[in-house]
Formats: sequence, C-alpha cells, structure tokens
Amino acid sequence: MVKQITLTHTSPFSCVVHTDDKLLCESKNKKSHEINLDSLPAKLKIYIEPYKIQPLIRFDGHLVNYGLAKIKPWDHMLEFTVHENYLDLYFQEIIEAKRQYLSTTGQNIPANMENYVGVNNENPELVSKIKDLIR
Amino acid sequence: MKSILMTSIPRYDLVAPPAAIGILQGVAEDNGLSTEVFDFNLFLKQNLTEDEWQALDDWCIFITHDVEEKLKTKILNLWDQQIQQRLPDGCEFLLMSVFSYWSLYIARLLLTHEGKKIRPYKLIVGGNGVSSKFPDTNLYFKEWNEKFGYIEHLILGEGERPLAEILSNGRVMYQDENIDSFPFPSYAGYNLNEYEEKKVYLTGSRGCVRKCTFCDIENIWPKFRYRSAESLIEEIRKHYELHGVTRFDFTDSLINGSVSNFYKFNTLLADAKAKDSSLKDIKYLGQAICRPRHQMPEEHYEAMYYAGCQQLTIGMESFSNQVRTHMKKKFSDTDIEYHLEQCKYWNIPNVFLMITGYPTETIDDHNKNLHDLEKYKDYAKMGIIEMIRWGTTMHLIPDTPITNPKYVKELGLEGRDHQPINQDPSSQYYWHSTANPTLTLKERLRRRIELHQHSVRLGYPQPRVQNELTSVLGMAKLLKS
Repeated sequence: MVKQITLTHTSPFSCVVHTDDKLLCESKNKKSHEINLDSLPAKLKIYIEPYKIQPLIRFDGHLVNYGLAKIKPWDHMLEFTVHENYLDLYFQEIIEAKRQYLSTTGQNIPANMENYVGVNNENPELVSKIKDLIR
Repeated sequence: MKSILMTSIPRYDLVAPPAAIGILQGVAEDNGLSTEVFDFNLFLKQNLTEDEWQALDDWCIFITHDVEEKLKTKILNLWDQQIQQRLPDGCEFLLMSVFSYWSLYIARLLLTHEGKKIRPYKLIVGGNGVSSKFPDTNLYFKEWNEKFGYIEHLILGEGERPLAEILSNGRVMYQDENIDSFPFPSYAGYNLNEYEEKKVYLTGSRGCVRKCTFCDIENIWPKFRYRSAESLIEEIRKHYELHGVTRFDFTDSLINGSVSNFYKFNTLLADAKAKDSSLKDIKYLGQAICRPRHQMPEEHYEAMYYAGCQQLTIGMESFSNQVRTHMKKKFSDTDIEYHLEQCKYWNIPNVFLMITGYPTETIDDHNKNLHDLEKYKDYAKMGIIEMIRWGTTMHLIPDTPITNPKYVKELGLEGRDHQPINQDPSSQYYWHSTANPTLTLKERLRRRIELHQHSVRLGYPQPRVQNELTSVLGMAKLLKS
C-alpha cells in the first residue's frame, strides 16, 4: 500500500492537499513536500502555487508518469486517486500505452507486441512440447 | 566524382538505419566521394515471404546450416537486380557491412557470387562479423578470403581509418586512439520513415571496461575508448537539425564505461535541453553496466533523468553472486538493489539480459534466480524492470575467454559425445562440464522453461519469447536425435 506521496520541483512552491474533499495538510514555500496517506483509495486534490507547475510526483519513492498514474494537471491543482492496487493499474497502463503506440505507428501486429512488449506470452504449447522432449 | 555504394545485409534489426553504414558513409563523404546506400536487410524483409524470411533468419543464427537452393537463387537475383539499379555513376567501390557473427553465411553467399562476376567496382568488406569463424568450416573469414580472394579490400577491426586509406590513397587525418577525430555519421539517402522507429544510432565508445568470460568484445576492440561528451551533444544536434530525429540509441557495449564522461554528457544534454526548448523531446537509450553507489552516486541518475534517458539495457546475466563473480561482472547483489532503487526514483526503465545455465551454475544459483524474480517483481509492475530476457541458454562462443584452454580445462567443458568444444557448431549449446556434471543440456533447458514460467507468473514482460522458445525446442529435439 502506498503510504507517502512526495512532490518535488526545481523552485519552491506551496500546496494545499485535500483527500476526498477534506483538508489533509498544507505545506508552504518548499522545493519538496511530503503527503502521508492513512488509507486507500485516496482521492487527492493538491492546490498548487504558483500555478501551472508540474512537480515530480513519487509514490513511495517511485517517480510516476502523469499519464500512466492518471494525474490531471490543472493550472491550479493536481488531481488524482491513489488506489490500493496502484502497481497493477500502473502496469496495465504501461502495457496499454505501448499497445496504443504500436497502433498509432501502424505496427499493431501480434509480432510487435511479442517483440517489443512481451506480455501474454506463456506459450503453453511450445512449453509443453519442450517438456515432453526433456522428460 | 568517385562514388561508392554502401550495403548492409541480414542479420540486423529493422528498427533504424544501420549504424555501421552511417559511420562509413560519414567517412566516404568526408573523403569527397559521392555515396549511395542500400539496406539489403530491409529490402529482403520487404521482398521475401514470411517463411523465406524465417528460413533466412534460422540460417543466419545457425539453427540450420544451409537454406534451399531456391531461396539462395531468389536472394542472389534480388541482389543483382538492385545493385544494378542502384549503382551510382562512376562507382568504384561496393562496400558490404558484415555486421556480426550472424551475418556470416549470407555474406559468404553474396561474396562468392560477387567474386565470380565481372564488375566495374572493387569490393570493400568489413564489420564485426569478418573477425569471426564460419561455424560450418571452422575457417576464419580472413582465411576464407585468402583462400578464394573474392574481396579486394577486407577491413578487419574498426572501419574509419582503413576505409579512409582506401578512399584517399593513404591521406588519412584520423587517429584511432582519438575517436573524436572521426567524422560524424551520415544518414543521407535513408528514408527514416521506412524503419520501425524514426531514430538513429549513436556511437559514444568502442570496447568495454569489463572482460566478461562469455563475451567476445575484447577481440574486436581490445581497448576501451570514448568520445568526448561535447562531441556527442554536437552530433545529436546535427541529426536533430538535419532529420528531425529526437530518439538516439547508443551502439556502445556500455554507455557508462567512463562514469565521469557519461555524467558530463548527461549534464551537458540536460543543460542544452533546459536552454533550448526545441530539444526538449530528445531521448536516448543504451546498454550499461550495473555499478556500485560509490561509482555512480545519486546525482548521476538524476542527470540521466533530465538528459532524457529512456531505457538502460543491462547484462545482469544472473541473480547469483557466485555466477556473476565467475563471469567477472564485478557487481554485487547490493549494487543491483541500489541500481533498481535509483532507477525507481528517477523512473528509468531497464531491460535485463540474463544467461541461463552458465557452466558454474548450480541448482542453488538457479534457485537464487527464481527467488530474486519474486523479490524484484514490483519493479516489473512499475516498468523499472521493463523487460527481462532469459535467452536460449548458455552458448560457448568461440574465441571468448570461457572457451580458452584454461577455462576449458578448469571447467571440464566438452561437446556432445565428449568431443572437444569448437569442433562441431552444435557444441556451442550442446556441451557439458565435468566440473558441474548435473548441468546437462537437458537440465539447462529445464531451468530455462522454469524461469520462463516463473517470469510469466510474476508478470515480467519478456520480449521475443516465442523465437527463443522455438530455438529451445530445436535444442530439445537434438537431445532425442
């Protein structure tokens, strides 16, 4: 379970953090802010100043990609939900993003998913044949 | 004006224009020649059937040692037609890049054919592959050429200086020891949109700082040399400005061979991106080695992030410290943990290259691999271990340290039916060690399958598994033959 979110930026900024629309904490004029979470899922709204900055966001030390972590960067606020199974969801997003990338480049063919993504490739028939031969 | 036609052949990836031709085209242009390029590898992929391409691929990687005459004839006809069409005016040279060991058979086919033709050009042939031996005849490429004499200019080792000598009648300005003196690669004439990704290869160094027992890099580049960080940044700018390329793949055996230069490169590139927003999309990836914290402290990973490092391919080889020590990898379990922790902190994905069934690998070492897969599984979900590759079990490649007499004796390495290794091509994978007698081919294949299934169960992405398992199946069939 994710216990801590950190926000880091190259210049000082302030944030007011709401979880489930209730004030959780405030933190002012620092380059790095820590938000401790007691329970999940947590719907976070982080009001930031100055506006329009996009700090690096880490979930328990993991620098997440905004798109994959479904972080909405409004001018004045960052909005996202931290789920209990964030790792599983994050992984699914990675795979989906790769599938979409291959699709937009006209390469969405099974061989490319196999060559560049490498999931859903248990290959039970091949494995079974090999096992039969080395039994 | 003198001209040259520069060709590349299978087996090479189809992702981007071949780096070797880019490098050599830079040399040819620098020496005043008009150039044409022809990627015969890509052309064959586009003009052979899937079955023919697969047969060619199996031949290139020595799963088979011959292909049908019909396919050979088709390849030669396509070659002749295209060479004739693409030959530039005043063409004095046809250059063929034999990229690797895996290009040997098709190179021999094409060169034998060229050798028998009456042609207006001379053949220049080079590449890593020409330092190797043909697996079926045990002849070195050089010996083969001495026997038949088809090639007018055979370049062994790196190509810049020897090619410039040929093209400039000896008036060469490059110094091998200073690779910054070489001209920048040129990708003129390539349609980058024909490749799977719009990117170019970048060469920052030659050679390696390690001497891993299973690797033949030292034969090709005995000494590690690297380009200055400033030169690399300049080259990146050039390709960006000429072709709009924002993706760069390093060809280096390792991009962090010189830690200080790599740090400087990252710092300079990050600075350039911060100052010039048009460069913001520039990304790079490359192979690297895992290093301890005191060699690559936290700020080095931070600099990689801001420079745009998108992926590191690391030869982890084994999660067993004992196995890695014998391989001379020179990093510990603690170093792996540190590396992963930093990559997680800066979101730098890794591809782990692994070897199954190294000659000293015991069942405990194998179990350590299984154990650590479990231990690191969350890194796979984060995309930090973006992919893992277990390969097709340990191959004993000729002319690597592991096949030298010292190790062969120490480990009791023998081929099938106790034949000396290197005698039969199949002994590259069909070998056993009298010092580790339980590690038979059958046991290696069993471990490989177990690692595959465990990796799948834990959610590790594994690319090209179908190809690898097909090769493993081929080896398993050999057991029954």
